[in-house]
Amino acid sequence: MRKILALSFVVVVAAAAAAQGPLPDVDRFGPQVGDAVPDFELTDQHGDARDLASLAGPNGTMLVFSRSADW
Amino acid sequence: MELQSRYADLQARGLGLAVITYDPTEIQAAFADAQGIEYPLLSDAGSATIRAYDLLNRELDPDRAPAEQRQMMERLYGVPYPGTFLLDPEGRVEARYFEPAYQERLTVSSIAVRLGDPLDGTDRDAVRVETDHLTAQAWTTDDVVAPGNRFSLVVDVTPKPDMHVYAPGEHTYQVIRLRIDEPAFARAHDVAYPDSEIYHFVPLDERVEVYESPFRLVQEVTIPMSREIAGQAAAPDGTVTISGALEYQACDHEVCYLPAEVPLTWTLDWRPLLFE
Repeated sequence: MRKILALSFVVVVAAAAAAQGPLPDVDRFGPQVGDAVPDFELTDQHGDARDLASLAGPNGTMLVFSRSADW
Repeated sequence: MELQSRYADLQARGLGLAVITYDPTEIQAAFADAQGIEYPLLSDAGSATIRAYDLLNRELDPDRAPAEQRQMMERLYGVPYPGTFLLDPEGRVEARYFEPAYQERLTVSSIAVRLGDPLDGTDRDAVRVETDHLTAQAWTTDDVVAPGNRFSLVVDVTPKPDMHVYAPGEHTYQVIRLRIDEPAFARAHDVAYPDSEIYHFVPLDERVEVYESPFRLVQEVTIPMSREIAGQAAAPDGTVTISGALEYQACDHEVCYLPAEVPLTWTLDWRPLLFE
């Protein structure tokens, strides 16, 4: 486990260094305020299929796009 | 992980929470197990949903990388530009917060402050300072930060009776601001200023942008990702101390006082990169 974590650490830090350069204007990518986002069917960590409706609370959803859980 | 620590707050607000990454389900299941992740962690292996959302990080395209980086990029390619959507119950975007660097993300508590509705208790450890001209409560959105977090230093300022301080505008008075001195690696973003009031300074017959009523300054700060910072964060029981000063110039109805500064310090716990 420790070895895997150590390797992950190296990857994320090295990747951070490699990705340097002019940063893109990310505000223009993806659905904008007021847009309906694409629905999906993705598998969660328990193996269950989830779409947007199954994730929403009564007031909506915080949907986060993130880098890997592995590094 | 920061998101797990805020899951109950979000549920109390009637919000669902889900995180999408490009990892296979087995990786996510092991991660959720090891870290006690209770919110849905969704596997977008192959990045079809990330592409459907037009969020694929293009800078990591191995075909565009120099030869010596190609192998690493092949592993990384498929990650999204990191960010957060707030969706209404029908799936429409109410707000969105994205960062260009794929390892950085605005914390949930910072999003709540941006929306004008801080999470309960985030200001409980506020430090109170008082000068001749104002009182201020300084607090942070997060008590624990990790490399890659973008969080907020918040200062709630109450000018004393008859006092005002200066907002951004068409004048030469010193605008109230938060200056961040340490650590050198902390990247301070532009301060978010609330709407100002117009003050008529009779002795000079000037009309200037000021704050007379209580107001809030929000200074977002990013802790970048680097080997050195990640190493500091990995030290057991490590803390990071952020120091700076609130700088301002105050005037009352007759006199303008010399510019002043109030030192401020915040000590936060580190959240190690991968061990939490």
